[in-house]
Amino acid sequence: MGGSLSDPEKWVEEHGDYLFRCALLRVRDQVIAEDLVQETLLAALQARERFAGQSSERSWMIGILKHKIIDRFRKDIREQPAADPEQMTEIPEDDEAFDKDGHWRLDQTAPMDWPDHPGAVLERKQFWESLRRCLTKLPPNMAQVFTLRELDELESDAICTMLHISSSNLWVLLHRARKQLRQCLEVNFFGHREAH
Amino acid sequence: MQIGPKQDVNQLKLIIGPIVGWLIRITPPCKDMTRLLSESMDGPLPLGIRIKMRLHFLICKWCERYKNQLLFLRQALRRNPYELESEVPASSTSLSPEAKDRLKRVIRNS
Repeated sequence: MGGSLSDPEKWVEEHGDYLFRCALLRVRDQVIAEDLVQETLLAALQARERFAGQSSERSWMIGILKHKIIDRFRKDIREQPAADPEQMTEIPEDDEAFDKDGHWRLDQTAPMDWPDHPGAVLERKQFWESLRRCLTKLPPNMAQVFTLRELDELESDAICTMLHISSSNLWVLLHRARKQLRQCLEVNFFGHREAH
Repeated sequence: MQIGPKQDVNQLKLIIGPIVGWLIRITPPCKDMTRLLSESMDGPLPLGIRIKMRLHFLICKWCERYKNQLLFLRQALRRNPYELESEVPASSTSLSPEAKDRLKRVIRNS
């Protein structure tokens, strides 16, 4: 006997948008994200007898969705010709943050002191809204590895195997994603804080 | 010769100046530091590199901030993974009414 789930007729209204946003953060394509939501709901429908009721209905569906996303990444890799592993590392990095000796430009882009850091900001909706927007500004390949590493907490090796990339490639992508995200949050959230 | 606070500071500067210069020369530049700091979050780095990074923090509070901010981002995302998806719906991040109808039909018919 499984746990109790709500009426599948209501799933789309109750979880649809949430699943869609979760998918969109990772795949960046509205059509694919919609597809993934559909696959998830259908898989949930088929597996509903096995729902154990140990987690909420929603986190159960998120779990299914994450599997579907990873399946999709693997499938995309199989169908694409392998990219030249050295190609990505050769893209010159934007060096505006540093002077010719590789040190921070203190007048503009050196990391600021984040005043509310670290605890209190997590309670603020505006922080999460900024963070989400900054994530959606990452190029798709950076967003893909970043969400696998930081949201899904996969180990580096697992990501390299899944996406058929070298570890140095992965490090470059993660480094740029983190750098860009940090900068974006600093400018858009920490830079002009609203009055308390 | 009288040793007052002013002389102390000047003496200190004479000693610290060369040390700072030496640390700048032997530790990685900030640009490399940002790359190494990111890598250290994905796997262990050699001991020699880790020591150089620690020395760099002695002379550069910006890299230390950078490190703390990256770790803050990691903790924020890992401890609160659902916050990102649960913000107030906006039309660009919601399913369209047509998509919802389509999904409902698919569920009903399966």
